[in-house]
Amino acid sequence: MNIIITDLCKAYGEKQVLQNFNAVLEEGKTTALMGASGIGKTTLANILLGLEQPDSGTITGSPDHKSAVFQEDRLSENYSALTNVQAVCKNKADKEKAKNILCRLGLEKELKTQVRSLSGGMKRRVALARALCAEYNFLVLDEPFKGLDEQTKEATMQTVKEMTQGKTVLLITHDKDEAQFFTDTIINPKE
Amino acid sequence: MKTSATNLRKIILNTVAVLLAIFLWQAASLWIDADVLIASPLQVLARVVELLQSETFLATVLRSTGHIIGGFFLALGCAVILSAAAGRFPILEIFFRPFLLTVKTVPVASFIVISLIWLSGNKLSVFISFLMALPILYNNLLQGYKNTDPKMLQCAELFHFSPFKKFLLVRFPAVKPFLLSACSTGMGLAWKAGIAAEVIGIPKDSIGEMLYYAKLYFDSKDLFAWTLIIVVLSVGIEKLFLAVLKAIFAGLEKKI
Repeated sequence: MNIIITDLCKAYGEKQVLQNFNAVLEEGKTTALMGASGIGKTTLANILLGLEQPDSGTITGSPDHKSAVFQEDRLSENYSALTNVQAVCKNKADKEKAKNILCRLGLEKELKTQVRSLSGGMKRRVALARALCAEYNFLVLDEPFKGLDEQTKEATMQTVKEMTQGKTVLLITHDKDEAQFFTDTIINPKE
Repeated sequence: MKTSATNLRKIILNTVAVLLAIFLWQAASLWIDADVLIASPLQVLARVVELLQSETFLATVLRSTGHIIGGFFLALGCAVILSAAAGRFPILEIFFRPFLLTVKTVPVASFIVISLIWLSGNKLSVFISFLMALPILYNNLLQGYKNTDPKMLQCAELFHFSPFKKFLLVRFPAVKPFLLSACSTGMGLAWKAGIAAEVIGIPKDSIGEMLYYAKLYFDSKDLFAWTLIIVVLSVGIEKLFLAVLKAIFAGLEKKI
């Protein structure tokens, strides 16, 4: 089922962040959300994830199982990379899946390393692994490749593309090439 | 390499500081030259050895330690429950405030004297240790609870963490440093207040009773020796407890 966003409005005090925003996120496809900072991309993502309420407007077709990479990594720094990813697992098979995803993202040597000891790029990939490991029908990726070097970024983007085939994904990015790598459907909240 | 050199330097400096303090103590005792006023370090050490060999020593130490640590653990249990309740329902924090403020501001001696009316000398040190440790533990734990990153809470909500996972991955990392620091301070305070309660309540065969008689008979050797024993017990038990706590935390962190 497509996710249909109709006349969505959201303001923080005097600041109107989203004004009658309309969009359709096609089921099983990736939609890229682009635009300058402060135009409400992350707010929209939070509303779609059910973490914030809009002032007005409707969202239909929003699935029950959602997953996300937030703008910040939001990891438990005292725990290992594997523990952070396994935290979203429901059963033993999923725990094995957590290990596999981390390996696919090039973190096989860092499975048992405390997150606080990892580099920024590694933490980002742990956050990505957690989002991919969770059970989801809708995935939000908010600047998921931030802080990765070019070579790692390319490999990570390829892995993420493969792993999200057939899923409904909202990719938030500033990078047009990054958006185009994933999809032809690019929207801008201000347009 | 650099860390071990820094550690070695720290150990050397600490040792020098302790030796200097003992030297000054020895110099003061020689200068004053009156055992009643100040016993020398060697006299105190000899008295500690004598006390260690006495039949009643272990029972005395265990009784006082049991009461004081018992009071501390009681406070810890209550603080965990009260801070979690106040964190979850902020209105409770307002209701708890006058009680905890009273405990924090009223002099410990007043509490001891008032409590003596209702409690026996034995129970007094448990109650006073409990009372003095509770506000510190409660305030720190509540601060830790409030310190939880709201973004991590959103994360827990999105990924449908069970209450246990939410506690371990989100709440616990925020509360942990506050809990460790509160336990360290709270336990020290429980010892100080607990012994003060024993000196006033004079329960039989307790460290407080020994201190009371040492004061009564101007026996400064005993006074210094028991004080040294209290310091060693307080610091030793605090270190042991914090080590056990850290081991429990490490075990919990592997449970996910």
